Amino acid sequence: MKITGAEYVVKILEALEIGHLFAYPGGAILPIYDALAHSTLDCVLVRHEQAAAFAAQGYARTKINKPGFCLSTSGPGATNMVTGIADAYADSIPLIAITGQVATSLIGSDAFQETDITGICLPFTKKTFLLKDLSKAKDVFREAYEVSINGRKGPVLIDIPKDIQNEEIELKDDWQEKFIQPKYHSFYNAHPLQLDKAIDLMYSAKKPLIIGGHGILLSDACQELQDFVELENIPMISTILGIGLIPHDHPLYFSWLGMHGMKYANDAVQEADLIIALGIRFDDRITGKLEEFAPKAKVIHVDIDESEGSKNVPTNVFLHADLKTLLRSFPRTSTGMNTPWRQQWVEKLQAWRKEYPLQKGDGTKMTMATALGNLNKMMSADAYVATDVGQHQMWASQHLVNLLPNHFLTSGGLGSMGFGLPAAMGAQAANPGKEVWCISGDGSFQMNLQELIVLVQEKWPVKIIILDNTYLGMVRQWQEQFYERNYSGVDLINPDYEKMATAYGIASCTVYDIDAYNEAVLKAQSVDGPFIIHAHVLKEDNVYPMVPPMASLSDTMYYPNSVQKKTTELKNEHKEQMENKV
Amino acid sequence: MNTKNKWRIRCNHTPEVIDRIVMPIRKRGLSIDRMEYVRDGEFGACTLEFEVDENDATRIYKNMIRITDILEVEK
Repeated sequence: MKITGAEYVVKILEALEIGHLFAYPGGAILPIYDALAHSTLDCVLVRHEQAAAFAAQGYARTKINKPGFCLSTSGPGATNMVTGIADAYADSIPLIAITGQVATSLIGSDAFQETDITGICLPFTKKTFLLKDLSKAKDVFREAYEVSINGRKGPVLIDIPKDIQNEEIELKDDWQEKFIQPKYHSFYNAHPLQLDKAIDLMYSAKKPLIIGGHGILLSDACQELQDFVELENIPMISTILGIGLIPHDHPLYFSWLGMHGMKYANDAVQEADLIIALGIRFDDRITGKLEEFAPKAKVIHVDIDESEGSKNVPTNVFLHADLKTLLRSFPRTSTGMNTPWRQQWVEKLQAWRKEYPLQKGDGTKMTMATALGNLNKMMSADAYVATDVGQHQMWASQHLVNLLPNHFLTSGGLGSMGFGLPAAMGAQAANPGKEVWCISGDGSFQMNLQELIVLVQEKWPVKIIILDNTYLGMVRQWQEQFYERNYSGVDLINPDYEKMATAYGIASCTVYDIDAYNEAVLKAQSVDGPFIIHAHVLKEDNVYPMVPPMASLSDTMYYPNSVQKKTTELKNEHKEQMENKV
Repeated sequence: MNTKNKWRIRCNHTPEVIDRIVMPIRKRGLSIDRMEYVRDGEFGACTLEFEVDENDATRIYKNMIRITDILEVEK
């Protein structure tokens, strides 16, 4: 049979069983749109290409070894997707971005809507392809798929010139039947001597601590991790992207570490004599001042990406493997000698947790923390939550503690405002019938609010909470704490979100107190369609605990009354460091 | 202190691979003193000479081995 390149690409996507394609049309992708009209693919018309990439991420983040797909035209369509692609790279999310390109003969002529998108995306993709030979399309897509899900996962870009989309190709009738699906390959390259060294370190450690990260979720190793933690009786903490990898109330889980992590988790790192880092990359937001990170500890680091070994934190042992495979085969190291040590260490952490608990507010003031704490009690057990970026993101990470693995979607590495709503759309598309919440701030929400109409068009019942403090709250917090309260560029005048919701045809309400908020959450859950809760919250509220920028985890500020003096000292120190840097 | 580096890189021969080899050096605002790239069927062999601080060299190496199409970096 003879079909066009565009029809072939669409049929390849069908053969790959991609689920949803988040897309926006334009001149250089029109042949593919023409073919999509006759396709079984679920093509979602977003309202901005950035949202296409975030929605594809939202889809992929809730799946195992399945990339999200997004598509746009050339030029501005392609460049609009860039933030979403970079975000996927930062958080190792499998994503395949397809872009239309000007005709091959026009490349390099500064043609209308021509950009070198493969060149632009080089620094934050695993691989890019400019498809110039239609006969290789099937192999290119299969390779792109495999590259995105294997090794350290990440985004791949395929750029398709318009003439290639229009070109015809002769295919055998049974090509789809013979189509070989891309495969995920488990990976184990841990050196036996390094493994022995790791085991020795674990035998002799008196205060071992596991830090579990996104790599656990990405390699679908949550059960293996829990078995490992329980068999070894070693306490564990996680990164923000690791939230959900083990039940929050598990007796050996001590929440997450870092800039706004729990003080007891940060203290555990500073006191530990062995860090067992599983699928983390020692981001500066979790290490604080690098030279003072885990000063007493030796470090075992397990990661699928060899380049992470000693990249930021020097490691004593690096094990190069995927976590599912490694944890399944890791020998037991608990002995008669170290069992009491580990038990004492666990008890010490339990005492610290009692001494420095997360403060949940008194439940009466309308704060973000109270709102999210209440949502945690009210949302369904298998709900998905996507956040935006800022204070609300940190409070959501602290207070939403009942989430299952891969049910918490947040932009961790790149920290992209505008992520929340499209990511929630992707999660809802991937998980129809499930409760999906988008937690946003009044600043973040305005970065992709045009996507509201997609919820209406697709009949996706995403529930949205806009936590409105009329500030860019996190920036304001830093200006308060480190720039002498010199508020600059943070004061927000917001639209009337309820009227805006009405304009989009979405049910909504505005609340000012916690009782009305609780009722609004129930109402949101009871309506069939999307719902927006516009919640006015305390204006100047700060996220704690907090490790000031460039400070050590040992300098974690717990809550204001206990840290007044320390804050001033650190502020001065920060100022000096900034001046020195300049 | 800056030191001279001469690295031998084995890679898949793809349209973008030279850009990717250069990327970890370029993004630090550093320049390459000498570069030689030879195609060998489906593979490429690249020799790269540049001068850089030792800490930067370690990071550049880490960045380079993360790249999908780079198969081996011999320092």
